[in-house]
Amino acid sequence: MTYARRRGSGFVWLFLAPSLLVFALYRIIPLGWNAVLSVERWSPFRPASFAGLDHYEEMFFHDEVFWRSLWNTVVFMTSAPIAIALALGVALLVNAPIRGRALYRAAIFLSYPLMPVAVGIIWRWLYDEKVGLINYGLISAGLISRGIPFLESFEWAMLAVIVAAVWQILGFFMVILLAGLQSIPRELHEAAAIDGAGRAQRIGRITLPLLRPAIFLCLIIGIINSFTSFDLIYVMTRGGPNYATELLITYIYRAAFTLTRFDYAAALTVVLFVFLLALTWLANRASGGEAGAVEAAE
Amino acid sequence: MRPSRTWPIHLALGVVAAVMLVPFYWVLKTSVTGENIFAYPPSLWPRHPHLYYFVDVWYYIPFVRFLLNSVVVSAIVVAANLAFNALAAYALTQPFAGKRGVILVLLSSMMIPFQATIVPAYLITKDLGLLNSRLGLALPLCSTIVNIFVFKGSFDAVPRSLIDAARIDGLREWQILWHVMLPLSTSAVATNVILSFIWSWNNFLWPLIAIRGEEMQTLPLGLSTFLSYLENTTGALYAFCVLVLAPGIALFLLEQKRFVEGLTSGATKG
Amino acid sequence: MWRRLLGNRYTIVFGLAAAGAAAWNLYVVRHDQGLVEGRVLDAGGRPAAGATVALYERTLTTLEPRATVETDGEGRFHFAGQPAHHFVLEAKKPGGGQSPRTTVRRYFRGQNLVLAEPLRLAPAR
Repeated sequence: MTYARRRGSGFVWLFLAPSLLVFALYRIIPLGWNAVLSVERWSPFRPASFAGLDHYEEMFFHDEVFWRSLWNTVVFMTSAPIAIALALGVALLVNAPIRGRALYRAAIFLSYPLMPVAVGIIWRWLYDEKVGLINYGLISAGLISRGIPFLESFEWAMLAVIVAAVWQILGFFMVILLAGLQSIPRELHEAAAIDGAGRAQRIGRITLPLLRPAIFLCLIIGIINSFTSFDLIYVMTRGGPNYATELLITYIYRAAFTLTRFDYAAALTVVLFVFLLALTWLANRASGGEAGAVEAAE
Repeated sequence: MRPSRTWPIHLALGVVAAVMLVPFYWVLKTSVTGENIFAYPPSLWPRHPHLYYFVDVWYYIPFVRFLLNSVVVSAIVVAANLAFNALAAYALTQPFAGKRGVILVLLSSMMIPFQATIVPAYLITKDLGLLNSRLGLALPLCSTIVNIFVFKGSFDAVPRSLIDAARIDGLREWQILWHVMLPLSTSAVATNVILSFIWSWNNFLWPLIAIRGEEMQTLPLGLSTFLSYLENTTGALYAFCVLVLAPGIALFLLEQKRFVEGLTSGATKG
Repeated sequence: MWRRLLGNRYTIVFGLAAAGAAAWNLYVVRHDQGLVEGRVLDAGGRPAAGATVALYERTLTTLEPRATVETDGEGRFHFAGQPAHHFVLEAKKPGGGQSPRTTVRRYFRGQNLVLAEPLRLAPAR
């Protein structure tokens, strides 16, 4: 016992130091810095001056692109419920006692660990107006007579990007829901079957309620994803055409690094962060707080 | 469930799997034939496949440089992650004053996505003089909270008696970590390696911000620059995509289970 | 323990990859003098002596002239030290026409090639 007491816990802080340093530098300080920068007028060439809420005023009252990007982010969030619904169906299928289940799971999950840049390039080409596979399929099916320039058209760009995003995240949601499905005790289903409940009833009354935590987890991940999905949008459309697919995050990038307005970008980031926090808190509350700790790390 | 009629399930799953895999097949096919960049209607099987587009990628663009940069940055990130996270997780298994606060800080840091920090991260890295350098690219990724908790979960499972015995034997703390904890946590080490590698390899936004000029570009950035030079006019672009996707796919196929578990533990963004 | 290490799938995968890369590099180093050899036939199918063969390197956007040689008495030509991995050959003979531009690609820079197809001169119109 004397060893433990003599040693004390000094080493703990030493061990924690490197990680805490990284987090301090790249998570915590930036949070504060953003807040401070957002109420200043600052540029790399001029010293800072206090600007109060000017940036926020500009953002909320004079900046159409901001509202457009906020709206687009909300629309992009609809990819989450769509992906969850599809993933649920797929998970239920994969959960069935069939052979080759691992193969299907691998094939469907494969899209997730890929580089979003490469995924964006592939989908850009699939959507091509003249040689894209999607237009070919639509024309062959007789649904349209000539190719739609999906990524260049104001009406279709967002939908096209949402489809690509759903494709990439489907496997991930499927795996989460599958884990949830497999944690439901079989006896429940068997007992209900004995009691005469049909398949649909069993799914509706037993499976879905017990899957609530997993579903809300997916929902929260989907929400966070829609706030952070920079790579895919940048490669597929750069936020165009005419800001049709400009998300808040791509607007922040544009404001900071194309327009070099770091202070305005900081204000935008503060809004993004507050919005993100509010939404995930809401989703967490709605799920009964069971969705568990959620990570938004890169 | 009676296992009698399974073919409708196979059919449905087959369709889903096919839809999910079509983009892969398509990009692979184009990287070996170059058709469907200009030709229409698209053909299902590759006609006259050849490997020359991969040769183009190797020589026409600084692919080797991009590859080198990506590999070096990822190596730094993986090594740093292993070291920092193991240290931090070990510290977190000990009782100490302020532990609650630290865990709270860590959990709340988890709520801050990287995208919400890009402006200050850029300014901080600039002040550190690390812009346009591989170290600067690696630094924000050198420790992640998910990985710390992966280690912590593994360390918590080590019986206290082992640790106490090691202490009584006079081992210092870092020796306990190295000789006792880590050998018993190979699974956590592997998960750490895989997750940190994938996050670093796929990382696009940070290199986009922190790198100017071609010298230090990593693969995703190089791919995007190449795209903006050439648009869709050459099969070499798709060969580039295939080369860039290959390590991720290979890693996934080699370590599926661990991959899936690591990514779903506590929910993450890939 | 050694057997486990050798049987480990990572060792196998990376080991094979490393072995493959080493073997490939060995092959490349032995065969990269940049030689290009071929024949020129005239419109009648006979070897064309004294024809000029020009080699242009194809970059991403342009065609750069690199070298010209003459065919010998049997219509054979021979370039050396040409590293380009993607190039175009064109044969011309005064009074005998010229061949269409033939694209040639290599697997690595300076790969020694012996062209299978001869360049055929077609009479100029």
